[in-house]
Amino acid sequence: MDPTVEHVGVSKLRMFNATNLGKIKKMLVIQDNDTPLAVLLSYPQYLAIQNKLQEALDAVELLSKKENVDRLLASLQDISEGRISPLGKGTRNELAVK
Amino acid sequence: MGAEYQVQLSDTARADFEQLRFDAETRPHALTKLMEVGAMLDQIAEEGSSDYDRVLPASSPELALRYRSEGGVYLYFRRFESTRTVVVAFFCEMQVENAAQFTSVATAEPPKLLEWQVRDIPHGMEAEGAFEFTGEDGSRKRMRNFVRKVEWGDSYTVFNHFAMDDQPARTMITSGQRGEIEGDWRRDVIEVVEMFPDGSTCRFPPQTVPVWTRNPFYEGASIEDMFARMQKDALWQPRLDRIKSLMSRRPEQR
Repeated sequence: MDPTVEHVGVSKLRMFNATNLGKIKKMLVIQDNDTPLAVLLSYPQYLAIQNKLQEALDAVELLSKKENVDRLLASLQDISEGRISPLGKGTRNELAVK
Repeated sequence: MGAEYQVQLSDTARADFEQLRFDAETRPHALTKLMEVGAMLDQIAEEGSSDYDRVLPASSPELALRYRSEGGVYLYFRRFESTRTVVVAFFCEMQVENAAQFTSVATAEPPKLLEWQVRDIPHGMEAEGAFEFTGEDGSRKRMRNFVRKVEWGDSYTVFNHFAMDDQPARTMITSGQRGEIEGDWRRDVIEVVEMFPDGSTCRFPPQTVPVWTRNPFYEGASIEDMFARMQKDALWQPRLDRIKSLMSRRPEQR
């Protein structure tokens, strides 16, 4: 049982208004006769889920290409062995200078 | 806007960075990528910027990296708070599915441009448009948009108001300070304030952003051409994603 999820009947929807909708802490699975119909969650929860999903998609894409994985490992090795150097004063300004 | 973190590059990132700068001399795509990397380097160095980092999931803290993305370019780095240092591990280009597409209304048809007017005004321009989006179930939603841009010499102000049928209208005011120009690109520092229907406002932190100077509003041979170009342009979706990302954050409600 996930304590952050609560199954409620459709009639529960009538209880919500602009004030208490913003205070939802749990994810509500709205069901009718034990059939789940919809999910109601707070906007911050929704954004958190979206962010986590995006991070997972980004990670899958990154790790699905050997070239990326090789460079990831090489760069981690660089950092752990101290092969790093300052970006350099003016370097960012030089970005636009051909 | 102070650069509170010192930025360092791993040897891997350094090699890629130098190669990118070399390629940017002759390849517009590389120049675009270089500008995106430059914008992200500015952003990750800013005070308070760590709140907006994304995290690459890892089984141990030693492997965990933070990252940012801009226009399909992903920059991976690690923050060392004790020394206020950001070490860039590497960067790469990826085409990643957008998580929002799993939950937003999927469109079966491309959006339609219903109306578009551009007017010159003293020290600037105005544009008004109406767009129609068709959902998979055939339902249609219309969005109306009004934009006014006023030039102040080295700076400018953009007023953007848009509303979709059943959603509250949104209004954003962008103050921009022009930066260095290179080719078709300029690096501006912008500050955005969003006004909400309930009267509250939200001020977003200043950001350095690449700005495409070839304004599509002025270059189209016709309204349809302009809209088609905006939809087809590779830069359009990343820009839109960036705006969505900006709008999804409300760090400082006033």
